[in-house]
Amino acid sequence: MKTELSIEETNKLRIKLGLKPIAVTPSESIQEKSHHEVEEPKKVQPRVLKAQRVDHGSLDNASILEGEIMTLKDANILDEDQNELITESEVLDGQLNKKSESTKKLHQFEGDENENDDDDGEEESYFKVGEARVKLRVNENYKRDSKLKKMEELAKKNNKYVVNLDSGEDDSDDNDDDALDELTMIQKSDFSSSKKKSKSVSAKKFKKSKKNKTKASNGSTGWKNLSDEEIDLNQHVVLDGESIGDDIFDDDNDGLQAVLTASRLKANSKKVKNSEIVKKHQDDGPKKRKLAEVLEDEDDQSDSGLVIDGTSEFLSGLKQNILSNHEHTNDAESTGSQPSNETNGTIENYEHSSSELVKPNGTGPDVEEDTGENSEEDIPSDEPNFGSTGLSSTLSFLQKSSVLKITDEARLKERERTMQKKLKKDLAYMKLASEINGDANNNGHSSTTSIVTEHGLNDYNPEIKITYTDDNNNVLNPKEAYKHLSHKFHGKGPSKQKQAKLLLKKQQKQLKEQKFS
Amino acid sequence: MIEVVCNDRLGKRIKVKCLPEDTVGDFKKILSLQIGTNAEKIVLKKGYRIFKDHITLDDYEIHDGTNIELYYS
Repeated sequence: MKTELSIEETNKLRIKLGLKPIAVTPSESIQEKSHHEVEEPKKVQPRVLKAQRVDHGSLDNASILEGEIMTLKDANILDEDQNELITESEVLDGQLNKKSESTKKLHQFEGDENENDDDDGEEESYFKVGEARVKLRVNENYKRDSKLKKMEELAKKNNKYVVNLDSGEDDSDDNDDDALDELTMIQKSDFSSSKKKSKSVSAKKFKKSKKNKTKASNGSTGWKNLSDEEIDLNQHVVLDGESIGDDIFDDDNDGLQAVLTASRLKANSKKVKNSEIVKKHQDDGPKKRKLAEVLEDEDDQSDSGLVIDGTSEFLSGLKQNILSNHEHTNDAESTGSQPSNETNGTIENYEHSSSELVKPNGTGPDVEEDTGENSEEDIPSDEPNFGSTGLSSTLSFLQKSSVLKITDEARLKERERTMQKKLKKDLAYMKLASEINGDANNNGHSSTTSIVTEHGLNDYNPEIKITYTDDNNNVLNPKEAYKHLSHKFHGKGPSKQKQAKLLLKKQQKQLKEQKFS
Repeated sequence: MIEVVCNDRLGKRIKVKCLPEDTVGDFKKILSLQIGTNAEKIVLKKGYRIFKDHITLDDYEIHDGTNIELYYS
């Protein structure tokens, strides 16, 4: 038994129970209505055929027998007329007629072929020109043999193609000269025009050996002409190719060569610059000789096809700048009152300059000595490693050339960082560290707790009291509170007896308290 | 609005119109009025899961056209 209430009825019930009524939307009401409509049993209406025209073209009303089956007449899809009804017998007759017609056609076709086959000495070939089927017939015993021969001879003389075309459908009779259409295609002596026309007569098919021969002969003559002409053409083409193609290549080559020359000039200018610098600094001293050597090596490398990157260019620029700075400093010193250290060369000058850059105030003899010692020690390390173009090498170079200044604190920090990184990779150390940290936490002396004590304990209030209350604001101990919570969660409460007992206990407690108070 | 089908497999198959926000207790009340049995004696199940009164139909993922087993305690 399936029972169901409508929305209105359920809403009434819901209102009675104090629940929110269900909002009735128009779509729902429509759905309900449609649902009810669907449930109603459908009345089956008899199918009534529309009035259709009956074809009485071939039949009389009298001829239609009782109980005869009527069918629809075949019609075109595009016909918008009403369907016509025909008797089945008519349809059958029509089908039979169609079949007979088709068979007749077939017979006719076969008969023609047989007729043609019967004639000995006849060779036939068909080809299609557009939609018309053309039959090409060559008959040795043909009456007009003499005529043909004459025409062939004429053709031989004047390079004429003779085509005997005959329409396929009208070839039933052999004796008709009028039915045949002769086409003579006159080939001109000029080969170019004949070639064009030969394309239009490409469908020709000669089976007769004589005609083939003639054609071959014509072809040969044509070929001769062609070969002559072709040679000329080839000559022309070759000449053109030489003249035009070379021009094009020359243009391209010119462009390429221009680009290449420009690049070479650039490279040469760079080289010249480098070489000039080298020449300038070769006279300055051993330190710069080394630099010059390095530069020369670089030049050699560039000659050997090294790719110049952005970094390498940057480095080269740096080198140039630094070298120019050195020159300036050297010039200044040479113009100044210290021409004494000429034997040591520019290395010491360079060192001086660097020391001055770092410590401009240190101008005592001891300082000078110290710097001199340091310089002697640092000579090999001071050399910029131009071979490598990495960041580390550039940084080291910059540090040593006093462009970059790193303080002691920064160095210490760096060392610490690197040490920590190394130690982090070591698993044994990490284990030890974790153990130590754990012990510290157990003892309550960890770094985190210390931070907390420093900042967070100012507002820390350890005296927190959590009070659990009932629905009736009765204070509950933690156990009772948990029970209450679980009861709420599971939707089950204590039994009425238990509730009564609890109430009694509470009342007794209250009484006791009142007595004591 | 959703329609929930309650089947007790004893011959009663009731379609109840309700809202997904309704609790199982409310649903039971409407159902009880339709069947004529006390709401407290109705137990609704789906598989081995007994639906609790204070939880909503939406929480139990009861949608339009869901079948619920109806038992009597």
